Amino acid sequence: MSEIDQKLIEHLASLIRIDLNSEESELFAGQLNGLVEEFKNLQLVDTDGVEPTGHIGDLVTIMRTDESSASLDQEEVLMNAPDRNGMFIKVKRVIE
Amino acid sequence: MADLWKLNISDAFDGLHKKDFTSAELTESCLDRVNSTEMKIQSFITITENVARDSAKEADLKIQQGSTEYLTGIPMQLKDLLCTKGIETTCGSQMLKGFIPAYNATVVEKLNSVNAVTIGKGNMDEFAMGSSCENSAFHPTFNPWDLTRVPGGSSGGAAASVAAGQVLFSIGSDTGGSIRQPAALCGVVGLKPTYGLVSRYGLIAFASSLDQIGPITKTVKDNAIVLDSIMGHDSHDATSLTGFTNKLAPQITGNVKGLKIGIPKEYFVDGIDLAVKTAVLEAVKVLESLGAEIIEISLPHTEYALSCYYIIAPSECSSNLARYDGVKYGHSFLDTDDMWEAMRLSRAQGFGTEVKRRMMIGTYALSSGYYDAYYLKAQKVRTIIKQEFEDTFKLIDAIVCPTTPSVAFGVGEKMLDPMAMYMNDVCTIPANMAGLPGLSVPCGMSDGLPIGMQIVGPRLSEKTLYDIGYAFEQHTEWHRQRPGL
Repeated sequence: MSEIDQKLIEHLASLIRIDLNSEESELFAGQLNGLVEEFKNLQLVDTDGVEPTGHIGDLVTIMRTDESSASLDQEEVLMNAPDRNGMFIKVKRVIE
Repeated sequence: MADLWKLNISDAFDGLHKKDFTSAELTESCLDRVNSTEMKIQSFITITENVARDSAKEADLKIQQGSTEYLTGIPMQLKDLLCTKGIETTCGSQMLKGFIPAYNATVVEKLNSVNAVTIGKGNMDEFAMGSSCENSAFHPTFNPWDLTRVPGGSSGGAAASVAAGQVLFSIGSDTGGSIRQPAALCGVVGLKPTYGLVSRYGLIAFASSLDQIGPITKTVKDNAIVLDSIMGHDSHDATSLTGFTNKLAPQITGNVKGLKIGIPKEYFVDGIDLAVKTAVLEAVKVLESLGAEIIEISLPHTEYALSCYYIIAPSECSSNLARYDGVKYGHSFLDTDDMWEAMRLSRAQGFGTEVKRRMMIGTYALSSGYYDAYYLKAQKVRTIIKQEFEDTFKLIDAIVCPTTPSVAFGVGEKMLDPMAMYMNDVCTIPANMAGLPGLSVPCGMSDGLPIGMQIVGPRLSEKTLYDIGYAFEQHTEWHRQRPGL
């Protein structure tokens, strides 16, 4: 029984906001099932009472002094925007 | 002046400062070498000849004025996921084709400040996802030792360019082995530093809890020289460590007498080629003859690290790559009025197959109903792997094992089987899971292809790793082998 079917593939694709073509959908369904099968070996590890590690190191909240400093050049930053109107980035209509 | 491109950093530094030659001459020699080899290996995405020539002139002026910085005037390649102000930075992806950063990565800023010479931007697997450099959206890179084989990845361009003598060093990044694996397959020296030792500011993110920038060089000492120039705290990176400013290169002694070196049996099992095992165990004998104490050890959870990594890294990537929406920068599908369609098609067209596959895996592992079984479980196993290393390093100073399960494999050989490709990282992934430093040094050859020995130590043990690597290098000739390109 494959765990990951076409319906789930479509759902995942919608979550990552990518239109997959039918070839990709089929390919990924097969490959993801194979990979998930490999990953199941993790269930053999006893993790009772083990805390998860999201990050290595001893992170602390870093505060900086409230001082202004130079910003990036506006034109240089906006230069990479695919669609512009002067100093604004143009976006598609969000509210109908 | 002939063949200056053959020099390593230490020798080039001596030559530059004795006025035997100029950085302009050294740079021209490297550019000539690029011209004569690039058609064959394709290690660059962008070649920046003009930037290089200008920078070399400035470097020569600095040297005249008495600069004593090791890297002043030394030609280098930067992996194309390091933001370079005014120079296209693609991350090996159509998504970022044409992207011109408005700022430099901290590492680039540091290298520019001493006038290291940027010859160009290195080819890589798209968004650093891959182990063969075949996932670049632009072209593959080929192994300088055998053009029918891959150079490894994802920093394949970085390793191939150093091995081929196009540059004296390169900067790569390593999330699950992307510096060490290509360094091993190309016969050069690669270090993944301790997580946090080098600032990630301006590194295009893949999996933020694992990514680390590091040097690829021809020798161990050169590697320390480059690390000295790029490490250090950076207020732009909240995960960057504070308080480590002592330069390592002058401290390397190559003395391994009394060092306790562990040989983990899990890295010498079936699936690791006999030639690789044999070469690494021969190398261990050299270290033993130099006074190191060799101890057989066991890291029983090693076998789970691969699954753990291929859940955690894709999960982090699926989140990191959400930023590519086709609005602010990057590839954009403009021919619609619907914002969601624009986003879906921008991303469908901009990303390649491997990147999509990893986002799908990551999103699956993070989605409700599967989160506990995959992502959370993997994070808990990560804790156990980390703990196992910490316990081990209470008893020994470092671990020595293979960097890769095999020598360089054939172009196209593993592209249709993701799991076979992912297996290439089986020896390198554990260090990333625990944030540990790992050094790969050339330690043998099989069928004319290089083999790498990996040295892993506790956090911030880079000096010990360099001492072991340097000791080995001083008593063997493997690091002098160069491909006959």
